[in-house]
Amino acid sequence: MPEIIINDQQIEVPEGTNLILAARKLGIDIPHFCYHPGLSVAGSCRMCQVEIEQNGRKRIDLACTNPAQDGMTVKTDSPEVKGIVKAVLEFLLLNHPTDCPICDDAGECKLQDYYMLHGLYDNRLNVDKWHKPKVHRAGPNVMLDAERCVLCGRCVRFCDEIWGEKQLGIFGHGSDEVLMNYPGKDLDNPYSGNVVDLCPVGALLDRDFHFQRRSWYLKSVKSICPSCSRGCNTYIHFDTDHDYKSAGKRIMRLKPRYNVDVNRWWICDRGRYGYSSIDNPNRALTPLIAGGETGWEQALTKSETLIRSSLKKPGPDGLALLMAPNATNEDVYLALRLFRDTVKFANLGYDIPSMEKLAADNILLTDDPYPNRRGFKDLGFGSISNTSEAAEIIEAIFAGQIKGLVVCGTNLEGMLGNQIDNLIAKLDWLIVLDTHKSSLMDKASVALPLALPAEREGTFTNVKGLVQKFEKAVEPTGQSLPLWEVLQRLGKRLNAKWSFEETHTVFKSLAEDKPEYDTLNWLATFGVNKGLYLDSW
Amino acid sequence: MPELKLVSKNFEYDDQPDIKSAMSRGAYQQWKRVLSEKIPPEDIIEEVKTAKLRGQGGAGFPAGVKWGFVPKDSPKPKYLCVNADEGEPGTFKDRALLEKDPHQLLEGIAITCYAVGIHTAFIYMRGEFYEPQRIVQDAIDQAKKEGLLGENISGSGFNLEVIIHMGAGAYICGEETALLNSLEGGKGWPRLKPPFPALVGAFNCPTVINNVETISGVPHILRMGGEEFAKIGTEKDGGTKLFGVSGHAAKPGLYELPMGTSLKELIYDHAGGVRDGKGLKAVIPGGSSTPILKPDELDIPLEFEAMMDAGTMLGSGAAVVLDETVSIPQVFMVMSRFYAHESCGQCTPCREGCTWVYKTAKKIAEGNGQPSDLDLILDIAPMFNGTTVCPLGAALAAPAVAMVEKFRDEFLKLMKN
Repeated sequence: MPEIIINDQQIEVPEGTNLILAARKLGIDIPHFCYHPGLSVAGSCRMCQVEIEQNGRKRIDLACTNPAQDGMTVKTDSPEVKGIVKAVLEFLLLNHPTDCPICDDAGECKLQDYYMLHGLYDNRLNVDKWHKPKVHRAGPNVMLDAERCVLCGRCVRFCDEIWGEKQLGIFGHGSDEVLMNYPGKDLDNPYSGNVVDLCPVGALLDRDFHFQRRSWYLKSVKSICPSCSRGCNTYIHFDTDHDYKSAGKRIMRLKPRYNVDVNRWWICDRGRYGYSSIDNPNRALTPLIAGGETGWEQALTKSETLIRSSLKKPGPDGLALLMAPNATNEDVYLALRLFRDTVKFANLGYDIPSMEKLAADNILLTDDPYPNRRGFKDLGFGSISNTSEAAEIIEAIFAGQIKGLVVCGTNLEGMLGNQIDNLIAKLDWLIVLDTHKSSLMDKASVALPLALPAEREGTFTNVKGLVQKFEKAVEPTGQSLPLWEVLQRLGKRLNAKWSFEETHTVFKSLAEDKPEYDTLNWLATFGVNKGLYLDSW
Repeated sequence: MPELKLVSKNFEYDDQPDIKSAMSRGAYQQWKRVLSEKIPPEDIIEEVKTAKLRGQGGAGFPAGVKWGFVPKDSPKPKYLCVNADEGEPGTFKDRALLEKDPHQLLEGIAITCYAVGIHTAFIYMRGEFYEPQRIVQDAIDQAKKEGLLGENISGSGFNLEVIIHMGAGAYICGEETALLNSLEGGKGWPRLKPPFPALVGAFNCPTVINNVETISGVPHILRMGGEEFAKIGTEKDGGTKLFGVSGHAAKPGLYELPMGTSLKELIYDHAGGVRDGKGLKAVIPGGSSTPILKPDELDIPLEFEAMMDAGTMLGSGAAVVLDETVSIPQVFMVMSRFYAHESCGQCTPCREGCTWVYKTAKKIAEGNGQPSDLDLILDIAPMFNGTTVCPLGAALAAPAVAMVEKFRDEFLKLMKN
């Protein structure tokens, strides 16, 4: 492994590591625009120039194109290097509209940061600035302000190299050059939102975030995307302090979080823009009894009564639990301890045939829209006697063998269509737990509102078996509660011998039963940022 | 020094593009000799090194050394690209070589390809060269008919396909790696080096790129022998060079002179000095990318190093003579407009810097400038000289500084206060 010296600090890095990455390992940021570790090296912004001394010869060269070689001495702060960095910055800012006050990217903009760090010169512009398309719809999710663009080409390379189709290009030449859609092409690939993260300035912007919030008001927690079984690592950006224009909207956007084992720097648009279901007027806010609003106490008492009555007749063989694989491992664990081990339902099913098979690709998207099917499988979800499939349970209901049914987050209406009423008619009672209002909740004997992943903490196990924790961003909507907490309360009423106060004690107990899951240090962040790379490029 | 015609030897014959006439004057003799005597390819490369033939496109890199960089045992095909994208303002030597003696070029191509082990040669021709394209394509067809190009040439088992590729008119495509991108059908953006084209060139294969004039000189090296060829020139620069004189010269045109002839001699003895008895204001010695010289600076030998030492460049050897009526700020404005327009836009300093200089130059030429604008130009020009992907930025930056420094008074006269 080559050993080099950067600004008088020695470091050993793996063969092929370029100088930007090597310097970052030492906590030295070499300014750059076009370089991104997930894309090919363009070397076009010319910002990352450093002084390299090798074999007794000094040269000024790019840090992005030069791999560390044994015996190199690199200076990122020599007067000459500082001069060049400042010069490139001055060129980039020359025609930049500097409309930071109305730019969504202000506060997260490399031009701003670098000007404060490396620029701080007086404006010498003695001629007019250029004008280019200011508001251009690049695609369904992304808008383009070509004036702000620094022509680093990251977005172009993303479409070419990661998605594999030319959707953006840099057209023209000289300073008339402009970033634009390829003729006849929309920026409509399922990963289009990543170009917004890649854009070092405010040229490519999320259309849903446009003028929504100043970036410095945003708070951030680490989360896991629940939109498919990949388990991409994300940040939830939210703001609950400045409610002046978004009418109760708390979650402002989702951003990818680097994880070398899962999603690297990317997430798909389905996951990225799926947060609108959280602060949604259709959320279930209160418990219902026969469609009428009530409180948790009454609803849980009613549920207890229904379950207890049925334990005698028809007995556990006539009772079933259907759970969609979007519940967390903690939910699954407590559901098993309650329905399998305590009240001993004979029919537990989760293997719901997907309503919606996603279009999987070899980048991130899987075809499974549920985030935790693997966790259900790993934890052995099913009754003691057999692992029932959801379809069998439904058949048994229609056959009159099952009289009491608990449903968690399952889109039964979507599955059964207008058969749903016939199904309900076959049941003595139906308890529905869900996050969003539905006619099934209205028709149920008892309906209980659940919190979404953004409103609680928990773990999902992704398609490859990686157990990943997500953190709570905002409080549960209305009176909704995390599923494990509902199960805890219900369990207490049904004489369960266990009691948990917090999510992590549930997980701890789970991990004792399931040692493979004990890899997780709850207090540490995980879906860990490994090795050299950090999130922000 | 008197004119010494090698590559321009047959320019005077109108029928030279016809293969029969050309062969009667010795065309393809060296190529035939290479094949019949089965001269080892290494010997040819050695001969070209001995001849001190330097790249005539402007950079002056020794041709034999360049060929030597190409890996001999590459599993990939190798290519030759002849750079006929003559776009440097002031330069018109390649056009003459293509139009007046295409067979000399083809013979040079054949020998070069044989020496390096290449079976496909591209001639990347400037988009505006309709006439040269027709003439060279004719010549290729004739040479194929005569069995001097194509498959199994003269029964030697050596194959060579020569393909003309027309550019689309961008100046930057004369830069060798932009040329490769353009040849491949992409946008004419220069590539990062390394890797150099000799290792990773056209279609990711090892590629030799040489100027038309460089390749046209190859048959003469074989004819005369490397040592004799080298003797014509100076210590480091072998042979002759075609110098194109344009502008306000009494006898503008192409002059083939031994390397090392003085610039003064070229302008006054060969091109007859300034026309109409006017005074000389300045000379741009080697195409628009080379820093301007004042009349008292012309006593420099025309060779790569000496010109560098004098703060300018030999470039493509295209001297532009400017008489006393010329406004240097005007020249500066036109020139910077050219570079601002032709900057490919890939890298920041050149893209922004050239336009900034042009807009400032325009402001000055229109009489709206201020003395501080001159200092600004001197300040920003070095900021895009050498910090870029390719030398296009430097091609404006160096001449800009020279013009402003050498003719500062003339710029100041245009300013109101």
